[in-house]
Amino acid sequence: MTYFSRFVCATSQQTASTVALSNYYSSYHDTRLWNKTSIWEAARATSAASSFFEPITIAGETFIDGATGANNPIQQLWTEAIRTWRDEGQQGKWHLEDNISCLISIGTGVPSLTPFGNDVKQIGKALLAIALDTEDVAETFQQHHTDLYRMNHAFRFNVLRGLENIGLEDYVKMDSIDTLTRKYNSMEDTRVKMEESSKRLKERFSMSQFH
Amino acid sequence: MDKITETPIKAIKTPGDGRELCLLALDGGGVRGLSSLVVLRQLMEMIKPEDPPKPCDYFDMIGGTSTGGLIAIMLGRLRMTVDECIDEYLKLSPRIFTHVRHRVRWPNPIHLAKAEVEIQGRFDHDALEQGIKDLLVRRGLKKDELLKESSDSASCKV
Repeated sequence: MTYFSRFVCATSQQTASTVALSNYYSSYHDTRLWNKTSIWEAARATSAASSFFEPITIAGETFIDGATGANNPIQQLWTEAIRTWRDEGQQGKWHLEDNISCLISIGTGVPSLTPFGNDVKQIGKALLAIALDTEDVAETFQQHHTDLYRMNHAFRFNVLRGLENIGLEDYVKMDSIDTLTRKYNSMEDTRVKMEESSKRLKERFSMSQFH
Repeated sequence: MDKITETPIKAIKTPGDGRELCLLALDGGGVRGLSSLVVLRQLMEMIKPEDPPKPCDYFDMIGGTSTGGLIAIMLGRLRMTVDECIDEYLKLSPRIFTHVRHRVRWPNPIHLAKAEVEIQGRFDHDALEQGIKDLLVRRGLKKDELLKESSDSASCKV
């Protein structure tokens, strides 16, 4: 059996619906897009964050924004996983929850309060709403799948302190991002979660070696 | 109504408890995407400190939005190690996050009507495009290489 890592990036269209671009075929995706999208176009499409990049059009679809709808893609990934593995020969009762060895979701800190743009107040507010959304999404997802988290099959990592002072475009602060994240990595709570999740990943990997 | 079926449900080809999927989700966040990479590096180091594995060998699916999607492409499609990805991210960031572009329009999410606000973009999409193309060429791919892979041509091992 050939195996390759699947990846998907969620992007929004002008219509505000989320579109998934992937390296694998899915009957749920737009085949026309799948056949035409190059790697750099996908990179552009997913990074076309509302306020930052200009829109890009691929095969007639215009992508404006990878961030407004879903800056935390956990729910899209979940749906995508159900569609992918349920379709592979599963019939009757099948739950993704029962098949998850390790689900890891990683954040990029909590909202940056750095305002920008001409209409600073409005855009600042909009961005704040978007950024806050990532932890809300994480929390709601965890509530809905609490057993996965309680049984150490799902983990959320996010540097909750320090990064909020670093603007999303503030590349001169990359050293601080590194330092703050290393500090987060060394915290006891983080280490415990990391040990548990790396254990899961190792188990799963050694299992796959027997195929 | 639910049908009770007598056909045994086939577990996904697996020994043990049948749990075999590993999934990774990456938030978007501009330059702060680096933070998720530093977390991921630590995780990979804990798996094998002397030779941290590639995420694509451990995760069945990697998903991301915005810059998280960019990282997902590098890890999943280009099968890069976390260290390679961090290097690339550090290289790309000054190029793509520096230049100010004028007159970018976007629908205002506060007024969901068609209102548009004019603002200055902070990222440079041409630099991103060029940066990715350079990366592809450095990794021995065509600059217009397609995103898609078919299961018979692509194996996880590069």
